[in-house]
Order: sequence, then structure tokens, then C-alpha cells
Amino acid sequence: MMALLELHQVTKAYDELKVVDGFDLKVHRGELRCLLGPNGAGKTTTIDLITGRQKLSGGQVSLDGTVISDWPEHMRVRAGLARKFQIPAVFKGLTVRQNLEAAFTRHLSPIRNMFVFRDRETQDRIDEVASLVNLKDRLRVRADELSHGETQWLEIGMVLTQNARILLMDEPTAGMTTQETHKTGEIFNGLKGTHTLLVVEHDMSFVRQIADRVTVMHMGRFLAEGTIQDIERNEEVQRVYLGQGGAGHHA
Amino acid sequence: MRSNLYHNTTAQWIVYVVFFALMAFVPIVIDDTFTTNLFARFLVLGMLALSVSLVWGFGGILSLGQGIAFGLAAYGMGMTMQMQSQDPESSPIPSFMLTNELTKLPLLWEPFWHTPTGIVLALLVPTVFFLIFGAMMFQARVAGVFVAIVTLAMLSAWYSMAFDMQPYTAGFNGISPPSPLKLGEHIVDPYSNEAYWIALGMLTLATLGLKLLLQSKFGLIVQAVREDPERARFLGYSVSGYQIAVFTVSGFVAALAGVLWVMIVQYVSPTSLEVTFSVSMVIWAAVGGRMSLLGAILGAFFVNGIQSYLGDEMLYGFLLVLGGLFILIVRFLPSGLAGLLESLLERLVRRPADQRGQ
Ligand SMILES: Nc1ncnc2c1ncn2[C@@H]1O[C@H](COP(=O)(O)OP(=O)(O)OP(=O)(O)O)[C@@H](O)[C@H]1O
Ligand SMILES: [Mg+2]
Repeated sequence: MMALLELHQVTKAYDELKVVDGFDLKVHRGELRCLLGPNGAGKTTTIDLITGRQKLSGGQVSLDGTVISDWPEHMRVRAGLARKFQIPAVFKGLTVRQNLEAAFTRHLSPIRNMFVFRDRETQDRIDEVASLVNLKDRLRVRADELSHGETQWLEIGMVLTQNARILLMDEPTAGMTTQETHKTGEIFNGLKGTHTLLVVEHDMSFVRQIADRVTVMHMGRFLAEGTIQDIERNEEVQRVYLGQGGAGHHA
Repeated sequence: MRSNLYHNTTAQWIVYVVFFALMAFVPIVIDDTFTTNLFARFLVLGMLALSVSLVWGFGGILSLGQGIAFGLAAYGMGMTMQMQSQDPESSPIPSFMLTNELTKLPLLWEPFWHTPTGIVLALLVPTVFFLIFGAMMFQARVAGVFVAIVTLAMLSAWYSMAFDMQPYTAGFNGISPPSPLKLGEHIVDPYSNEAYWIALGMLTLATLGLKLLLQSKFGLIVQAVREDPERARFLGYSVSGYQIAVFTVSGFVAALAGVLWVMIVQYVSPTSLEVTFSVSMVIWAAVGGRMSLLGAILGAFFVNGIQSYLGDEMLYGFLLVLGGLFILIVRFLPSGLAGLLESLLERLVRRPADQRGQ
């Protein structure tokens, strides 16, 4: 079966320094893949390379067999990528409802959207996503009044509203309380099968809660791949990663 | 929670419609041609603040170049009205051109023989200019304060051009068409109630049109782009596309103001392209509240009302005060007077709610 997202020898170099170095990755349809690695391993850079926020120095990225690595960002999004940023990025001056509405991207053209007004379909989708991410009672609140955890949920909600083919989540639980993290795990587990996700995470209990397969990278390179049990048993991984801060929270 | 009457769209529409309906009675109540003309001018200046509110308040694009669209349109209208007084046989060339030793009407002026063409060009040329200028700026991802600098530089270029191309523009003196605008057989007297109502009608249409536009998905995305362009891009929107579109619409509104202005004052000069004028528009919008279309319009009425009350002798002192006011507003009242109303209504809602909570 062809992978939905495929990275082939993906490389990013700043002068001499290769922060991502010949990295390969295949994510299949309906899979929830965790991408693990110590600080500075190149996880965010990898997501940047997939979405086009940074330019590749080598290799290629393909989505459903089509090479997308020389497309501009918004074209890649239109092809089916959706992304949650490591530092939560929501529209702070807009309400939660407006944020979700903006993410409901049925039409993208400015001219076309001049004639699009709130309709039932949009409202239903927003309500559905809002209850999924626990923001149903917060729809009228401005995003800058949300707690940190709620802001993360809002951005997760936006990514869900987008109806993308693959969801790229960069540290979705950063800054969340243990309870919020657990709740987020439940949300993600509910998406399995119907959605394809690539989740960058540090929180091992969260990874245990959600992961099917885990890929570990270190210093820009592929280190290991397998089930969470395989990974936790892997000596190399223990040495570079789990050894550092144990299996707990990791800044 | 930020949901009080201020944010209720139905309430907003009622306020807007009632406001414009009441404004229609102003000339009847004041019953003085000079004051009616003055108020008609305020309406046009309000339209400029409206265009600033759209592009800056909602679009987050701090354009100091709104005067370009206003000025170009004003020249177009001035040329149109000037040509209405010329005759192809007896006097084919405006007199200022003769003193500048032109013997033939420049090609640039030819289309303005025909009034409808002239008015359409007066609106179309600035709008298309904003489209192209906007495309150049926003596709190159010019943002933030650089937009202010680039638009200001462009404005200065147009100002110099209007000033220097004496044979075509009458330079410093400007163009003063000898008679008021004629639409067919009908003469629009600048001092009549009719002129006021035309200006008011256009301002009403522009404001309600923009209000509707801002309630569309387009309006939402424009604001999303203001908040975080990168996020919007990663939702799949073409950020520059939205910026170009909103910039162009604001240019059209400013152009409409330029056309109306010359209909009302029967005069156009390089002052319409002056930097201080374009900066003032931004101040009016800031004072009234750039995030509120009506607020921005009222800001223009308010500041210009005071300015004309104080008279011309005080002008430079006033500009100083205006600058100070701008700094204070930006610092302490970022949403202007409309923002004051917003927090007032907020308090009204909060108080009973708090008491219930106790
Ligand atoms: N513009 C840059 N120039 C040089 N080096 C950079 C640049 N941007 C990032 N890096 C380096 O690239 C490496 C990978 O960074 P990246 O943000 O991808 O790591 P990460 O795995 O997401 O880490 P974290 O867990 O801290 O989020 C880091 O060592 C970082 O210092
Ligand atoms: Mg990172």
C-alpha cells in the first residue's frame, strides 16, 4: 500500500550544520504516528519541511504519491496538509467561533468568499468540532481570553475543522495540565482510523496513551521505529532520549 | 466574556440605518447653504475615514496612501467638470494650459470630454492603481511598518507629479472648474441640499456595503490575516490575495470620496495628495475607532468639526494638538471612542450579572 505521506532522504542544512539529515518516513492512511526525539532533534524542522515553511536542502516530500516539496505553503495545505504549531497559533483578536469558522475552508478565493455568509453547514461543523475539543461553552469568548490548554484545544479544533487528509500536530499537549493532557489523548484516540495524524510529542504518558507506531529521530537522523514497547526497550533510544529526563515530562 | 449589545449584529445594523436616516434631516434642520456644504464635506471626509477603517482597522494594513486614490479620483473629476465648460469649437483647451503654452488638448485629457466616461475613469483608474500597487507590495510580503513607508513614498511621488506637471494639472494652483457638475441637463449646485444628499447616499451605500462585506467569510479572513498571516496561510488562504483585495476595495472607497469632494468643492489641487492629509485620515479613524466603520466616520466628523470651529488661524496649533491626541489614543484608547462605548456597554452587562452571582 502506498503511504499517504512519504519523506525521502529529507535534508535541511544551515551552512555546514545538518539539522535534518537524510530522514525517511512513511505514514499510512488512518495511522496515528508519533514522532519522538530530544530537544533540537529536528522534529519541528521536519514539520516545517513537510508544510513548506522552510525550504528543503535535499530529498523530497510526497503526499499520496505526488511530490509536493516545491509547492508554496498554501498549495500544500490545499492538497490536504493541516498543521498545529508548536507555539499555539490562533487568531487572538477573534472569538473561538470565528477562529473555527476561519478554519472551515470550503472556499478559499477572496472574491468567492465575499459572497459566502454563515450558513447551517458551517454552524453544524463548528458545533461538532467545538464539543469534540471541549469548547462548546466558549464559542463567544475571544481567543486571547482562553487558558493555555484551551488555546491548544482551539488550535487542534481548527486543524480538525479543516478536513485535511493528514494532521500534523507539533506538541499538542505542551503546557497542559495532566487532566487536560489525558482528555487530549481521548480526543486523539477518537480520531484513529478516520484521520491520519503525525504527532510530535515529549510527554511519554501521552505517547503511551495514543501511539500506534513511534518513530524516533536524533540529531536530524532516523534512530528507531516500532511500537511504544519496542521503543521503550530499545537501548539506543534509552541512551539518547529516555535516559535524559526519564520517561516523564520533558521541556 | 465579550458579548454585549455592542457585538450584536442586529443592533449594529439598526444603529447604522437609524444614524444615516437621521443624517438625512440635517440640511433641513440647519437650513443654511454654507453649513450644508460644510457638512457635505464632512460626509466625504467620513468616507475617507471609512476606507482607513477597512484597510487598517480590519485589514491590519497601515496605509498612509489613501490620499493617492482620493487625489487621483479628485483630479479625474476636476478634469471632467473642467471639460464640461470647454467647447470643442470655440474653446477646446482649458485656459491654464494656454498660459503653459499648450496648443492642443493633451491626449490624457481627451476622454474627459464625455462626462460618464470621465466619472468612470475617475473611479476606475485609482482602483486599478491600488490593485497593481497592492499586488506588488503584498506579493513581496511587505508588511507592518514597511507598508506605511512604501505607501507614503508612493503618495509623495504622486504629489510631486501633480505639482510638477504644470501644463497638465495646473500645478500648485490646481484645477477650478468654472461651473458646478452637470449631469445631463441637471446642475448639481454644491451648496444645495441635493449635493449633501448625494454625498450622504453614497456614504450610506459604501458603509452598509462594507459592513456586509465584513460579515462575509471574506471579512472574517481579512481579520484573520490581520491577526496572524502565517496561521491564515497554513489554513490554505492566499494571504496576499486577501490583502490585495481589501486594499483595492479601500482604494475604491477613497476614490469615491475624491469624486464627491470635487463635486462639492468644485476645486482640486495637489493638497489632496499631501502627506498631512493622508496622515490625518488615519488619525480620524483612530480617534473614532478604527475597528468600527461608523466609529471611524464619527471620528472624522468630530475632528473636522473641531478644526473648522477653531478656524484656519489656529490650524498649525491644531495639527500639533491632533498629533498629541493621536499618540494618547493609540496608547490609552486603541479602539478609539467606539471602544469607549464598547467597554461602557460591557460594564452595563457585567454589573447585573455580577450582582446575580452574589
Ligand atoms: N535558523 C536556524 N539556523 C541554524 N540552526 C537552526 C535554525 N533553526 C533551527 N536550528 C537548529 O535546528 C535544530 C533542530 O531544531 P527543531 O526546532 O527542529 O528541533 P525540535 O526537535 O523541534 O526540538 P524541540 O523539542 O525543542 O521543539 C536545533 O538544534 C536548532 O538549534
Ligand atoms: Mg520543536
